[in-house]
Amino acid sequence: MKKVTLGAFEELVLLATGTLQDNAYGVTIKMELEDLLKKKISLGALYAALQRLEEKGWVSSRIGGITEKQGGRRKQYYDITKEGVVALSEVRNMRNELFSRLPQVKIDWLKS
Amino acid sequence: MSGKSKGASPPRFGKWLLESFCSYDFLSTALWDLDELFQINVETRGVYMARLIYLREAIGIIFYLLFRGKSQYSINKVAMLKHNILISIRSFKKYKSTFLINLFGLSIGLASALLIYLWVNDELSMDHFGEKDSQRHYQVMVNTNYQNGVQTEETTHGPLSEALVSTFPEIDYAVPMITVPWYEGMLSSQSEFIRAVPHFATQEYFNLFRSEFVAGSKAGSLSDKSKIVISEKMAWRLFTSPDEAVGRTVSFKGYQFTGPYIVSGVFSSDNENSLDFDVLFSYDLFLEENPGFRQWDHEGTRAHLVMNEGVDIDAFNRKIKDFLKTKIEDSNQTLFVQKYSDKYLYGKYENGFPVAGRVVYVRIFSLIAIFVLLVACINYMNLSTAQAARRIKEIGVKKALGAQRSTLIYQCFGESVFISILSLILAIGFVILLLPHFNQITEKTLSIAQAAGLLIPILIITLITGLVSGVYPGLYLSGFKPVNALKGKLRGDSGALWIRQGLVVFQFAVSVVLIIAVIFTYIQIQYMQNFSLGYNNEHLLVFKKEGKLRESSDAFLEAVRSIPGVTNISHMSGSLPGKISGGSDVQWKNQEEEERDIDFSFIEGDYDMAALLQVELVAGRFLSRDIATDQTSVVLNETAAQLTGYENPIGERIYFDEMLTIVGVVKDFHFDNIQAEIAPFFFKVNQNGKNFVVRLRAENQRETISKIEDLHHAFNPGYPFELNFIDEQYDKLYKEDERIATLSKYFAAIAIIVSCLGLLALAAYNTQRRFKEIAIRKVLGSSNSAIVQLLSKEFIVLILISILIAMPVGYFLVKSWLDGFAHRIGLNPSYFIAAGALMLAVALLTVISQTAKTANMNVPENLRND
Repeated sequence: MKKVTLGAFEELVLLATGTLQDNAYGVTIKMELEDLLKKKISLGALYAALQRLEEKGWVSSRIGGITEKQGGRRKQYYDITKEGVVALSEVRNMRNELFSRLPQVKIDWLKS
Repeated sequence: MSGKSKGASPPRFGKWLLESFCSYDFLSTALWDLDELFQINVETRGVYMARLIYLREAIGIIFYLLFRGKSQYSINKVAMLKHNILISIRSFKKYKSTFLINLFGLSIGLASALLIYLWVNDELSMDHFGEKDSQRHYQVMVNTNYQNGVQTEETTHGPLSEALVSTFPEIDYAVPMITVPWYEGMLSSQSEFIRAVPHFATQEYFNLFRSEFVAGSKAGSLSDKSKIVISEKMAWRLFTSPDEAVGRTVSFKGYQFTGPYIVSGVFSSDNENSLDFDVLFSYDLFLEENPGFRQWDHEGTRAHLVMNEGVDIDAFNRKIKDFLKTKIEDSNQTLFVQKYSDKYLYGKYENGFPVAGRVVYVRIFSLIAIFVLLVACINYMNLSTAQAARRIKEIGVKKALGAQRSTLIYQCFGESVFISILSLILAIGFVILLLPHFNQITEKTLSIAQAAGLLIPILIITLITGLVSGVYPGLYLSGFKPVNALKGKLRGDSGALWIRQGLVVFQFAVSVVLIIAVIFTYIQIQYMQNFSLGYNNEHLLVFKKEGKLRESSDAFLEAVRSIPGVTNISHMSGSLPGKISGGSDVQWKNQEEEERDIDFSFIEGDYDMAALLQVELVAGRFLSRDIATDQTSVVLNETAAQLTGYENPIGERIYFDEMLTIVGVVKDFHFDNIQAEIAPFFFKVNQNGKNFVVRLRAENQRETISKIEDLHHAFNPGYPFELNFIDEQYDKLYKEDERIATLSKYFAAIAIIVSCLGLLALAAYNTQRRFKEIAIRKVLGSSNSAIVQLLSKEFIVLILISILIAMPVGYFLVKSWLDGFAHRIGLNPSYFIAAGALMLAVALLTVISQTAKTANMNVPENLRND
């Protein structure tokens, strides 16, 4: 079995999906991330990441917002799942763990 | 959503792209997001940017779908495309040699097609200037009716353009121009003189001809007689930069006039223009220096007209046809106008009408490009169908699973288009590599940047190449019956075999025709270059008699004569070939009235010109310095002597501006292009010759020339010494033909290489298929040569058939080409045989190299393989 990993970009997308709560879909996630990262994100890349996350079971999607105005088009909303949260915290723990092992003296010295 | 701005809709193209790539479910999601994004962007960044972003995002989505995403998000077609490309790549990997031959063949074919396309495009766009009034730009042409036909020229009478404008309301305005190089002179800023070709035009010239200015301003640049516009090249040579040149004074020294002029502008040197000049003067200046051009008896002006919008040119041509008769009594000339941009390609005239000129070459090479590409496509067709057996299982399985025939055809198209796109990439590489060489041959400045502008037509050419290559394999492979296909049985193969053989015959027929064409063009050019001119044009040197040498040249002549490497030096008014004086209205005793219209050519020069040229004397003597009356004597050529009808011309007289006594007759010689009919001609004395002609000895010419140059510098400081060899000038006359010969040589070679590549692959495949049969034959005692014979026979028969087909085609092509020459080689059958033999030899070598390998194989090893 392949070890399931969370890529850096996927992690950001997953986080954004979580923070947006009920209003997470293509455009909002894109704009949230663009605001945060101060760089352009292609919708295509976002869809690809969401697809992979969905495959891994870390986000779920639901259909909503079918209106006459949009010509029968639908919004695909995404939500973070329980497994997603677990994966996020695992990555975070691992990072914290590594970070805490950085010698404090060196950090202080580099910061000064 | 709020604040929808009216009329702002997402680009339809982007939507269409998504629709043709995305599955329905995903499409609506993506469209929703894109629409919302679009609306936001319309408000924050404007409609234009929003549309741009929409497109970029749409392409991004497709990119991710195709290369990163899951197939369930894209429609079936995309999934199939991915599958097909994968299968293609696998088969390329598995059958590397077939793939490489296909790739190489197609890319050579495409590369030659691209090169020809660039050239053709350049030819077609020549003289299409796109300036303000270029679309309405016409030039007046003059037909002169002679007894033996109509001659068409662009030189018109001096006052013609003005008279036309005031008579015909259809004309907007006229631009009279003087574009003959005879007024050549020299420019200088300080002491150094640089030779410059001047043209004369009015300010409106810039409305018609493309002329980018690199310095100075176009407006009013020729408004004054003292203003001139010079080329960028001139500016760099005279000053430190074009910007420096503007406003500066240069002096011009010509035969007709000299004086200081102010540079008002510098035009860029890379104007695509069939006119070639270094400096532009105002037409008013020309009229001032040549007041005769205000009269109707002076010819030499080019009349460029700008017609009003929507004028019926045919009707206009009927109106102006006899215009000259109202101005000049008993004129034998008629007028017509031709669109200026058509003149470059349709610059030949028959019976007073424009006919296809250079455009013939454009057509010939377009045809060659198409044929070379076809030959490459045929390779692909033949190899893919011959190797159908390799694909048969795959097709069987697909059909059994319910694949429709159209799906399989798409797959074949997909593969052929895929390989032709790969070939295009390789072909562009070839083009980049070959372009400098190609430019050298064609004397163009084509660049790959130009090709970028033609991206869409090039892609279309590539797509068509792919489709043409794929159509036959597609139809053939998809036609298998599933059951038979799964069993590995090929359908009754005779039909496919026939087509395959037909295609091979076609390929080789094209190659043989090209070989025939190359052989004949080469021999014809050789023939023209070695044609006996009737005088000795070897080791003849020409240079200008100008500056101080014009007034007193005797000391210089003596000094040159004393150089050991010089046989003789003389001078004449023009130069050979062809650039000599001419005139009509020569009179003699018992002359018929219309014979006064006949044009005579004549060389005006020193007494010993005829002797220096080594023309052959038939009767009488050459002109001699020692006989005082020879000032007014002439030596005729045979044509002229015959024309006058004198039984014994020696001692008789002709009248041409003055009474001239005939003292000798020389054999006809070609003073012009050998294809031109020899005109009546005479030698005459004139001490104001503008060119020196020197006959050198064959040995140590370099040393002799440098001695002459030293003398020139000593006698005539400040003037450049520029020389020409007359025989080289003759060779230049055939340059266009020679260029065609060189190009056809290369393309013939390409056609042969590509056809042979295909043949090689076919032979290899055929022998490989018959491995077992050959092995058994060998076991039973068959000799190697018998096996080679067995395997090669089939191909050789095909080549022979193609040679037989090519012969009559080549015969007609070559005959129609040669008919354009007055002096031409015969259609010697041995050249045809040579072409056939060459093709047969190359094909034989190709086939035998393959079959011999098989015949030499190790029998037990191969039998054990199964």
